[in-house]
This record gives sequence, structure tokens and C-alpha cells, in this order.
Amino acid sequence: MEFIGKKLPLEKASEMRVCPVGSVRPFVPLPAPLYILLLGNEKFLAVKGPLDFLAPAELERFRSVENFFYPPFIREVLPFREAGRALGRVLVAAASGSGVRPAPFEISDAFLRLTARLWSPDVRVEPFFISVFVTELCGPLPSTVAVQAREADLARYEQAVLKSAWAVWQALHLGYLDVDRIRALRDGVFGAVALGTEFRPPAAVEGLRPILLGGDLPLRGMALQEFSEGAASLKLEARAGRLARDLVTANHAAPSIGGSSGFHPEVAA
Amino acid sequence: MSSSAISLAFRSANSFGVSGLLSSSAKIFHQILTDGGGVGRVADLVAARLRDTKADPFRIHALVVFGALGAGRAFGSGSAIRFECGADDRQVALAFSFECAGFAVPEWDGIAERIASGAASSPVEELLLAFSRNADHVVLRGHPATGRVELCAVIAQNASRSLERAPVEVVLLSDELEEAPRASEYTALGDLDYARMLSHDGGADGREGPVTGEVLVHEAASAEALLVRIRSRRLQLEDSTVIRISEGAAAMPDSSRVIVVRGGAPTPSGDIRIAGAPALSEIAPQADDAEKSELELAAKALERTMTEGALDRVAHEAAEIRAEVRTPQVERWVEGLTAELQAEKARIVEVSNKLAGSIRQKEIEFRSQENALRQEIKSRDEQLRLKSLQVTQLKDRVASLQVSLERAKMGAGSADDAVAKHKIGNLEKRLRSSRAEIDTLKARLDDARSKLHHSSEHKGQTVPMSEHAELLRKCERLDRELEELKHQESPESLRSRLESAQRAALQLRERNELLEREIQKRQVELEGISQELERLRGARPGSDAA
Repeated sequence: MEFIGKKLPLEKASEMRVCPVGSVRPFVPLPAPLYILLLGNEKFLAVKGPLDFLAPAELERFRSVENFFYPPFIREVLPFREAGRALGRVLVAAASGSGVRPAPFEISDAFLRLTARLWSPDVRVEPFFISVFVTELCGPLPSTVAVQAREADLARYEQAVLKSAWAVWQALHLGYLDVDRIRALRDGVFGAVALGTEFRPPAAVEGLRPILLGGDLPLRGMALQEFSEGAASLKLEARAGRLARDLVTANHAAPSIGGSSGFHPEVAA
Repeated sequence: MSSSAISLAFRSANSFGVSGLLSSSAKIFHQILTDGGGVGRVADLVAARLRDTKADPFRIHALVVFGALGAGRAFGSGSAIRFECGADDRQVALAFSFECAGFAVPEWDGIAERIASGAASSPVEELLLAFSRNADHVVLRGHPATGRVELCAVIAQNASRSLERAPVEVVLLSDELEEAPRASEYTALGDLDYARMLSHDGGADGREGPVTGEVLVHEAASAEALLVRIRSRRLQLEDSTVIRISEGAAAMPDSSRVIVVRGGAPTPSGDIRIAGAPALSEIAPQADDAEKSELELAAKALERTMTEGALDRVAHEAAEIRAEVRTPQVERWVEGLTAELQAEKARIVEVSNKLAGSIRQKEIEFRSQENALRQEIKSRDEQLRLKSLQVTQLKDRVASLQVSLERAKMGAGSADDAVAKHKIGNLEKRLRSSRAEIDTLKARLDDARSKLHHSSEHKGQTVPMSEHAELLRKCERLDRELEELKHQESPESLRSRLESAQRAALQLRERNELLEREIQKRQVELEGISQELERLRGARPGSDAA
């Protein structure tokens, strides 16, 4: 993904966030540009762009530098990452916990409340941030497909990451709240978009055709029902209506990959 | 069995979802069931959601449990189930949609007949039998292309239940699925309207107001205002019947309302609400008796309501209040209120008629003015257009003249220039030769003049110089003309100059010839004179020394 600031001066060190090389898992779409520190040149040099991933060999090569660095933009991403982790814990606990298990509609309601703070006051969100949320929930991309997709067409690979995440995001709002099934859905949509592999959406999730067959997902803020069709679109619109009515608060600014705090040169904040 | 109460003319049987089984005004609830967890609570919530319908809640419970738990087991499906339920004004429908791993069309042959006869030979048929016992109509849909199955049950409202089995309709969908027809509203099963639930006035035990006492939030501007407020508050509390007007909280669906509370305590049907009335922040009843203050406050509220154009709504509310509360006092109040409302309505209609008339009059005036202005603008536009047309034509003519002039200069002028230059060259050559000739002649003339002078000194004779002076003037004039010719630009003037110069040159040549002849004549004379002088010199020796 296109980003500004391929090199950053050493003076930015106080704003950079340290990320130990050992903590990064392979085939995980990155939530921000990733830098290494070149002490000789007194510069931070970007080694990976947002949504790109590190293969095991690349991680091994960077092991000697010990630490990666993220720019200050990473602060915008962290709430999405934490929400993804939290939802993962909720779903795992709901599926395997002892005692009385929550009913499906209770989990669905919990998900809505958990993610309500991620929406902008006008109930829109940029798909890049949803990809971070879904990556944290579903884990790394399927390795073979990810490598093939990146080598074949980088732009298409990025669209596959964004579209698969948006499909999962919509499915979660329709009540498709099962970690294994969500992961299968993410991988299926990713392969279908990136490499054109055959994928049959599950019967429980409807309205995925615009994501699978439609044009590119925009990088701007999107409403929940965008890129859906039919009854699914109406269902998602109704859920967005409840978010706007009861749950989304207007006391925070919507994060963006554009603008002064973002990294993308074309997206307006 | 009450299948006669079922509308079998479904909107679409060839698509998945309950919207095809219900009318377009249906409200649909949906939930994905990833496993059998919490099915009992799902059934509870479904029954609660469909409480407003007249469908039997026990049947709804049974169908939800059979569908959610039995479908996967009977059809050998491990997939998540998409559950939908909805209701229109005639029937309730429930649908369970899932993928079937071992979907085989031949097994479905004759399934409806077997269910009708009560014979079940497989788990699928047992499930369908259970469905048919609790529903009024069962639809089994299959999509062989994707292996997707949907089990639907339809329950009639307002129909007595019989113990007969419902018919089962088997529908095999074509490869190209139809899009499900749209319903008026889709809601996730768990998306409860908390705002509406919390809008209830009472606490958990039904008590009106908080148990720790009310806290009045309005601040008084002065001590006097505070006393007025306390007095009005006391009046409210002491009155057996008061009207309390309160602003709605954020959780309220309406922005404000009027509540009449009898005796301060909640009564089962004693709350009278006029929805949509504007908020009144201050309550200051001035009348002594409760009824008067009640009417005044209500009138205030109504006055503002009327100005906001809610007359019809208030009238409707009043009718509802009258129907609900049958006490004589309230009846009288409502009747009075309605009469006032009608009078106010008539007054507003009269005012609006007058206003409409004056608006029409103004409109006609404005229209005539507008027409006159438009006419004037049109004529001015026409004048402007003619003027601009004239200007354009003049500009065109000027431009064409300029172009023709340029052409004349560039085309004809060039040839004339060449000819003129050539002629000037020739003229110059001839002038130069003439001048040289003149110089020679002048020299010879000077020489002759000196000789003549010398001889005149001796003989007392003079040589006439008028011819020579004239020749010199002509030469000078010719020079000037030549210089002028060089600086002439116009071909016509150049041509005339050339012609005059040619004429002058011709005259000059003639003059030159005359002069030459004269000179020859003079030379002959000079030779004669010289010979005479020689002869004279020879005749008088020693004269040279003198």
C-alpha cells in the first residue's frame, strides 16, 4: 500500500514505537509501515508497507536488528487490534467455557457493544482498520495463498486483504459469531479475490456477491451495508441504525489512514 | 388443522427466507445459530418478539427447538443455521436455512405423501412430521446446485388449532436463485428497543419517582423565584389531581409529554399522555382549585401544540383519552377541550383563508410586475442585440479592408518596387554618365571661358554664361529629384516621379545636345579665334615678350 515517509530522521525516535522482531508472526498483514533503525545513517528506513506481511525467511533476516519500529500512526490502530483480541476471547469463552453459555443473540449484542467505539460518530469506518481488527481475530493469512497473491499482483493482494476483512465484518454483524467459521470465511474470500479460487459462501451468510464480484473496496470511511445486497443489506442497515441510535458516541474523532496522523498520501482524513 | 387460514399465495416460494412467505409489510427478525447453545433462550426471545401476534407461543417454542436442534442432526449438517422469523397481519413464518452435506434429490420423492400419511422412514421425515404437527403449513426448500436446504413453518393467526398434520410442500429451487422479496423491516433478534423499554416511568417496583426523593434541576434566578417555585410545587403535591409536564429524557421516544397523575400515586389506567406536546419548563398554576389549574396548564400546552400544527393529532389523542378514561370530570374536561379545539381550528381556518386570499392578490400583482419587467428586459435585449450586430458588421468591414490593403501592399507593390528599382538604377547610371559628361563639359567650358576671358582681355569680347548656369541648376534639380525618388514609398508617386524624371532626363539630353552643338560651334569659333591669334602673333614679332 502506498505510504509517505519511506525514511524518517533519527529525531523521530521519541515518537516511534518499538516492536521486537520476535513478536511478529509471519503472514500477518501489517497494521502500519514497518521501519528498522540504521544507526550509521541515523535514519529509520521502511522495510514493509501497510498490509504487507513478513515471510519466515524475511523475519529470520531481520532477527539481527532485534527491533522493528512503528510510526505514531500505530496509536490509531491499537483500539481495533484490542477489540479484535477481546472479541476473540469472548467467542472462545462462549464456545468452550464452563457453566451457562450465552445465547447467540447475547453474543451478537456483546459484539455490537464491544465494537461500537470503533465507529465514527456518523457510523462509518475505513476498511483498513477493519482489516487490522479481523487480522487480530482470525490470525495469519493462509501462507501459500498469501505468497502467491503478493507475487502475482500486489494491489490485488491488498484488495483481497481488505475485502476478506470487510466480508467478515459484515458476517459478524449478521450474527455469524464462531471463530473457526469466521476464519474459514476470511480465507475463502481472500483466496477468491486474490487468486480467483472457487469459494462457496456459507448458507448462513448472505449478500457476499458484491464483495466477491464487485469493484475495488474504497479506502474511505464506509457504512456497514456498503458492498452488500438484498436482504443482507437491509439487515446490516438495521444494525447500523441501532449502533447510531444507542451505542455510538460522538465524543471521539474517527481514525483515518489519511491526513496529518495517517500515512496514505491520497486518502483525506 | 387450520390450513384454510393460511395464505398459500406466497410472494415467492422460489427463494430462501421468510419474506417470500409473508406480505411486504412483514417485520422480520433474524439470528444465526452457530450451534445448539442457548436455543431455549432463543425460543423465549422469539416468542416474546412475536407476542403481539395471535400465534400460539407453545407452537413457536416447539418449532424453534425442533428446527435449531433437530435440523442439523436430521440432515447431517454441521453448518451454521440462518434463522428468520416474521409476521404479517395473517400469519407467522419461521425458517431454518443451512447446508446439507448429503443432499440427494431422490430421497425427497414422495416425502409429502409419506408425511401426510403419518409414516416417517428417516430422521428428515421424523423432523418434518414434528414440524407438521406444530405448524399450519410446512415448506421444504432445496437448492441442489449448492446443497442448501431450508425448512419453513407457517402458523396462522386467529385460527383455532387442530391436531391434524399440516401439509408439506416440497420446492426444488432452480440453479439461478431468485432474490428474496423485501420485507418492510429486518431486526436482529437481540436488538431490543432499550430506549422504549427504559421509557417506562416507574421504577423496578412500579413506584412513581425515585425512592431517594426527587431532585429538582431547575435553578431559580432569585429568592423570590425560588419561593414561587416552592409554592407551585406545593400546590402540585397538595392537589388531588395535578398535571405535571416534564421534559423527556434522552431515552424517551417523544421529546416531551403531558402526564396527568391522580392523587400522586400511580393508577393502572390513570396516566393520560398527550404525545407530541411541547415541553413547558415552568409550572406555575395561579388558580385556587385544581381543576382550573389543570385546565389552564392543559390549555397552555394545547395552545403551543396548535401553533405547531398538531391539532389533528391532539384531537385524536383526546378521543383516545375519552375512550380510555370514563370519569365524568375527565369527560367534561375532554369535551370542553375538544370544543375549544374545534373553535380554534375554525379560527385558524378562517385566518388561513384570509391569508390565502391576500397571498393570491399579491401573487397576481407580482406576476403582472414580473411580466412588465420581462417585456422591458426583452426589448432591451433586442436593442442590444441589434447594436451588437451593427458593431460586428462594422468590425468585419474594417477587417476586410485591412486585409485587402495588406494584400495590395504585399502583392502588387512588390512587382512595382522591382520595376521602380530597376528604373532608378538605370536613371542613376544615366545620371552618373550625364554628370560625368557635364563635368567634362564644365571643365572644357571653364577652359574655354578662361581662354575667352583671356582673349576678351585682349579683344574686349565676353562669352555668354547664361546657358551654362541654367545647365548647372538643372543638374542640381535633377540631383534633388533623384534623392527624392530614392525616398519615395508609394508606387504611384514613384511612378509619377519616374515619369517626370524621365521627361527631365529627356529634356536634359536635348539640352545637352544643344549645348554640345553650341560648344562645338564655340569651339569652331575658338579655333578660328586661336588661328587668328596665331596669325596675329606671327604677324607682330616680339609681342610675347611684351
